[in-house]
Amino acid sequence: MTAVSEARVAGAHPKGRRRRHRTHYLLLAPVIIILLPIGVFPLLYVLRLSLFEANVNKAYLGDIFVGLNNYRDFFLDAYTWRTLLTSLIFTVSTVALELVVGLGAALLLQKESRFMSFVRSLILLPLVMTPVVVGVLWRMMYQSEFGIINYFLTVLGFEKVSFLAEPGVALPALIVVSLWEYAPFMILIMLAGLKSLPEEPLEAAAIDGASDWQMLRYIVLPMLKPVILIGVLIRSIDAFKVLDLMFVTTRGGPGSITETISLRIYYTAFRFFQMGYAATLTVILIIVINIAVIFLIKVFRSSQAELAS
Amino acid sequence: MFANRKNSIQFEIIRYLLTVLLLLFFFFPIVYSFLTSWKQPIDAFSIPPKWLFSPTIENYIMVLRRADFTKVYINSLVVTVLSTALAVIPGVLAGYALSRFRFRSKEGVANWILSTRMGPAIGIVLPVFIFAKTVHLLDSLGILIALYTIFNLSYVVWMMRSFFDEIPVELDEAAQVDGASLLQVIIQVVFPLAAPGLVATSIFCVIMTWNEFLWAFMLTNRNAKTLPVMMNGFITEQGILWGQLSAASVMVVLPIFVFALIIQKNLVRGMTFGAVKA
Repeated sequence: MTAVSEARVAGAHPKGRRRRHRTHYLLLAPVIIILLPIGVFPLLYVLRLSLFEANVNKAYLGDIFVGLNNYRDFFLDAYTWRTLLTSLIFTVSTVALELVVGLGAALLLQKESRFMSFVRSLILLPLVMTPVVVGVLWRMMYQSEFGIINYFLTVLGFEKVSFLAEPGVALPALIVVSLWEYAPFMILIMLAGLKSLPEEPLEAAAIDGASDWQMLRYIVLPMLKPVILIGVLIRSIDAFKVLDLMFVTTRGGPGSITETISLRIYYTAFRFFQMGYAATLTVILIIVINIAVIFLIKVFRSSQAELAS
Repeated sequence: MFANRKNSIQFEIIRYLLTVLLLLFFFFPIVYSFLTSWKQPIDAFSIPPKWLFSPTIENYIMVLRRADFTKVYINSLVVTVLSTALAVIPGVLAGYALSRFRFRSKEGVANWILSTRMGPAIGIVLPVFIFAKTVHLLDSLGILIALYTIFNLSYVVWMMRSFFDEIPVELDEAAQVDGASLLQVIIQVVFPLAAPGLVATSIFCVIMTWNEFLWAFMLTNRNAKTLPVMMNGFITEQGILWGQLSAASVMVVLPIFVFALIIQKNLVRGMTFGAVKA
């Protein structure tokens, strides 16, 4: 890395620099032009729409400018706040569980052997599985009468549970599905992190008689921090936006217990046809997500700096 | 590494037990779905579940006989392949520019490119839906291909930048000293070295496009439906035909599984936009 940046500095003589000055715009131009419609236009459109009342269900008389009324409504809209809370609970619990399972599993599976590498290959499959199919699969397994999970429960002497229909159970049941689907991401990212750790500090600690726990707590975890942060941020951003899973399994039910903010926006726009208000909620969601994205980019940069040094 | 130290036998036994437990949790549902796809309807519902049964290919035949399955499958293929191919060329060039050139707004541009794909899908679908409706592009493959190309593009840029960063810039400069033009440098020197990265990146685009649900669900109806949309309709429609549901699932995810195993080495990198390398 350092060699690369030195070469860059050395190569930046005046003439070469000027010639290169135009080419990078030329190379970037197509991407920027193609991305503009999606990187800028929808944002402006949604921002504008969020200031209007655009209920396309009633006798639709065109958009009516209402200023910041939609935003005021949002602050008073307890229902939406509850969906935000649902998203938050879903995000925090699934990411926390993924983190624990990810770290534990990575420590288990890091050993180099044929069996372990076989296990590592099988474990990554849920991660790439089509999310709708994941929903289909778990709906089948959660089924209250003939579902395989309820069969195992009865074998173990428990009562059958209607996982996706019982208020107290539905959200945890979906958190388990999400854990199944995305813990492999944490496992893989932790394995990569563990593999890149330098050996010297660990050897030194071993010679000094450190226990496994001490090594994990004081050497491995601190050194894994950038990797863990990246994993947590990427997963949090994704989990907060989640929609597919609920869409296929519970549709937000029972009642509205598993209704996340994305689902709320979807229903506002395409069931209640309140386009303006849906746009307002979208703006709120974009703001929340962008705060996380800014953090993520900072971590990206600092981890790159760490790798370069 | 501390995990490779010699450990007691009890420790090793616990370690393997836990590994088997992990494997059961993550892999059993897939096995279960696969087995169900080969069961007669009666076996699919039997309690206790039958682990040994006479397999039938009927579920697969029933799914393939559905009028729309082949069509939807082809839709998915077309949309996936085209949107990946269209994203790769401009994406590679921009990734090269971000990797090799130094200019003031560089990080700003790179971050903006990343932010276009981090936004909530539901936020983009609202304006795109209204736009597609006004220009009568709803339910067309074109609007899906356009949207997925744009979506893949930002990804290709970030990934290829990280792959290009690994190729020493001295190679470019040596070739340029020898009189090669920039395009020649890219095509003849850098590109062959970045080819494995490009393959991995493209496969990632294929997986993500193939799996995408919300946009396809919003923007298509009958003609341009893709597989995830069909699977979603399939549940409500055939809620109890588990055999067929599973057979369709297997056919949807099998190509993805193969691809994922091919790029296994680059999977972590692909999922972190190039930030974490395995």
